Amino acid sequence: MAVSRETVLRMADLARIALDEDDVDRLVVDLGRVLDYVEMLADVETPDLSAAGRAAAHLRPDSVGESLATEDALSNAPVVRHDHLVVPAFLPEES
Amino acid sequence: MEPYELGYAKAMELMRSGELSSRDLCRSALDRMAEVDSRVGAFLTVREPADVLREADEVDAARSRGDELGPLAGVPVAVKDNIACTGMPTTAGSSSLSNYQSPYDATVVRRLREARAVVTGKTNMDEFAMGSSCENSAFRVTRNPWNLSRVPGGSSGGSAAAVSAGMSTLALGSDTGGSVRQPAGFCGVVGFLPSYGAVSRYGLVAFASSLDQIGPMSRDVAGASALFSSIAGMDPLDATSVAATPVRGLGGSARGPSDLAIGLPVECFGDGVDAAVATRVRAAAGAVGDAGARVVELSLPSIRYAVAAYHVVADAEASTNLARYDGVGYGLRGKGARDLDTMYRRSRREGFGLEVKRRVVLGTFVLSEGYRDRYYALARRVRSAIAAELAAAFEDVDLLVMPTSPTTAFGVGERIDDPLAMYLSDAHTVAANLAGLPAVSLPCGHDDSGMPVGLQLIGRRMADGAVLDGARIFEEVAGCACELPEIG
Repeated sequence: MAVSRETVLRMADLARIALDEDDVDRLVVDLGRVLDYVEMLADVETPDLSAAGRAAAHLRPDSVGESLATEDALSNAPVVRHDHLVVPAFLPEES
Repeated sequence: MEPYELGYAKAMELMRSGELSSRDLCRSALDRMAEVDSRVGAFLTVREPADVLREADEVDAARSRGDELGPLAGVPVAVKDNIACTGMPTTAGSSSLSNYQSPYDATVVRRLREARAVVTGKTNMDEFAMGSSCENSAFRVTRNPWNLSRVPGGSSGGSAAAVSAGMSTLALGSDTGGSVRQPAGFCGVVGFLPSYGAVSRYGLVAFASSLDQIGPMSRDVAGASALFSSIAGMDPLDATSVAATPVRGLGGSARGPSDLAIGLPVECFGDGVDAAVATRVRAAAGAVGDAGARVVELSLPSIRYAVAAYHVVADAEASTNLARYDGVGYGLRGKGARDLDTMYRRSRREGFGLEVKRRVVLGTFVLSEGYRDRYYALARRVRSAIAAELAAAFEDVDLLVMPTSPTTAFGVGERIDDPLAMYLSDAHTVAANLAGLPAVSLPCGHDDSGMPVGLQLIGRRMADGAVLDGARIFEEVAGCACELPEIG
């Protein structure tokens, strides 16, 4: 399936990645080829998924225990102030 | 013979008898790194030799006191850089994490430390485990020790090369679509994929959560078995972890070739598979047959859809897992943004390499409105069909045997601009991940250019011990033993 520039840009937008022009061009080609390749999946006779037998994940009780200390949790943060993560304002640049 | 040239089994035997100290084994590994890693490029971080040797000395002291020590005590282990280790960076091969220092150890690392293994460093990998050649690392390209102009495979290329070149007795890698087995095959070492859930993923940088597993690499099956036994087991911190069958024992298999039924899928020996590779693997299967195993040919028609199903599912899961790299709490933050959304976009543009962008965009696409049923839901159903077909095959045989990869190691730069060609090097490995099955790659001779051929065994779900037993049989009777390359 051929993929348009608009589609690539829209998907990159959803994925919150700003793409360089060169990358957009490459992805249009690459994604088109991969999507062509995966078209073959439509040829497979497939079972109804409701019968899928994957083992259920095991749960643990919702109890309070030790967790990562605040200072450790923030140890890799780019900008920290008073135990808070500092980020740019939420409003878009234009407004 | 230098200690670094010993495989795990021989090294452990000599340490237990007192003829080899852990200090000498670790020193030898460090010296080997100093000698060859400038050419191979397997390691991103190496621990201070003084720290490594101090830990080795402590094990030696414990051993001479007569303390009880387990099968990993004093053994050097290299760890793939997507596995969290305190005191060292954990970069996952990505610019987005180039300065990241994990505040906690992965469960497997905690278990290594408890077993008194000696972690020597972190190894190079394709960024976020997305790749089959170790060319997608943000930091360096790792080379194949058998021929430095060839790739070591990926994404655990650094761990495979480290073990192959004698720079570490053991290593941990991770495998989502073949990333332990394919580089093991390309580098001529043993690489094991546990059943999904057999090893905790806590502390493994997530790529595709329904497929990822951490697996051992070694130059002998005994080493892979010892490392697997030490890290496997349920973990309350990983809700998907379960108990698999234990490895029966390091001193030899309870089963022999005459207890084995092995199946060769015709689809894995035909078109697209190098003739030399197919011949070597068939010969090894024949040798096990001569030793008493029942050998049959069978057909797995759905295997040709495995790469397609894998990429749709894995990339979809990756697009979700990698959403966390936003520059907020850790990792690279894009500069100069005056609003949050722009910061996200710049952080990810600068932090992610091209292959990662490719997969995240593809993954986003197959989950997007209007396409989700046509791609993602369909791929999940095909995944179930593949798993069902494999399960049916195991009603007749105990192990499937096939080349690990259709070719031997390709040249650096040869496939980097052709994503599909790159993905097809995993054509034989992805099915085991899709079905959650245990699988192992063993060395199986060389092709005409001297490059290692990999042989893969796949077993029943949760029968990890049986797969490693089978690997031991191939190692003993079919010439599937590791050699040390001359580094060019």
